[in-house]
Amino acid sequence: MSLLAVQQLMFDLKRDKSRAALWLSDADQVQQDYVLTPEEASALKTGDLPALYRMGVHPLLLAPFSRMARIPRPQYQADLNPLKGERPMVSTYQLGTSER
Amino acid sequence: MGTLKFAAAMSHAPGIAAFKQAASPAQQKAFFDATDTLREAARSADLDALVIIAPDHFSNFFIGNMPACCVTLNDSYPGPVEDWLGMPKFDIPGAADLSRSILHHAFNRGVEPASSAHAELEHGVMVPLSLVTPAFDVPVTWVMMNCQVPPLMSLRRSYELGLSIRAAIDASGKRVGVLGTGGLSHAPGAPEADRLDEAFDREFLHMLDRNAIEEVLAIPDSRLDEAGFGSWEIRLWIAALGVAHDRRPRTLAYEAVEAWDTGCAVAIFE
Repeated sequence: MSLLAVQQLMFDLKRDKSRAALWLSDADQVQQDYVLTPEEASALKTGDLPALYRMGVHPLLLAPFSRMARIPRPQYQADLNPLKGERPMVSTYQLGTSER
Repeated sequence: MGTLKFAAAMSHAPGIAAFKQAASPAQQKAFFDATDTLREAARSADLDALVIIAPDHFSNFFIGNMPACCVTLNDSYPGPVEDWLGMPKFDIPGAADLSRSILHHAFNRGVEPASSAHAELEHGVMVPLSLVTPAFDVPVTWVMMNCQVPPLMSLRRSYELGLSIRAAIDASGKRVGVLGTGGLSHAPGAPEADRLDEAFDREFLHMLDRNAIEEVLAIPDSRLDEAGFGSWEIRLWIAALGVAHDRRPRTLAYEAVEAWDTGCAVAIFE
């Protein structure tokens, strides 16, 4: 698992406008700075919101990531709607660990 | 001696600013009439400083540095960080002396917040300020409480943080206000974002209106989880209750605003 790396990338994209601009033109280059599984890299690059949510991404990182990736709000909601109740956020939630 | 001249709590959903018109006219009127009441109360209080207790939504803090709470020490605060909030970016004056005093009093009382002099403001602070002190001319101290990534401070510990903030206010020699911002039920960005828990929200507000603070402090995590993880932010209200422990809360408005994905409430502590 490298959920933490996925979330770190999202946090960095939120904080760093130049990195976000680079993501939009060359996501592969940005991903080189993070240790990601092929599945994680693909989900990030293609904006696969259900896959990212199922991995455990925090909604407050997923929503800004979608805005940065220019995914319209209605599409965001439509993509996540089928996942209702599948992974509720509870008080034991963790952002992930660096263990793989 | 300083005095607490204004105390309140309110929701801070970004939709309040970014897509205000999406809410029904009746919901807008109820909510903004209530924030107008707060604005007038803050204006009448002629504040020297305002302590705003609000969370951070991954704008300043991440797993590399995720304090349970943090007293920010900025001389001025840039904000908002969100380009899409519909607000211009500018600097807001900080009440750094008061911030340092809060830190000092908190440590003396056995609460040990982190500190940061490089905080940037986001919607959790900017939206409430735009409604309560819209000239942004009252120096601000932002006390951040982590309400996004467990483990979170207990509700009782949140109240104790508020008591320590009050000790600093009492010693400040200033006319100070406090505003807790967050909640109530919501699950922003989650698949359940359109599910508000009006029953929880009204039960919580009923506890406040009865001044039943012990009942508030006994709300279990499991009930907050049911109401959506955004309800973890009632800690901001509870810290403000600690600051205003000698006042009584009174709900001014509650609307379950689906268009803003939030159970939106406004309360004043009198």
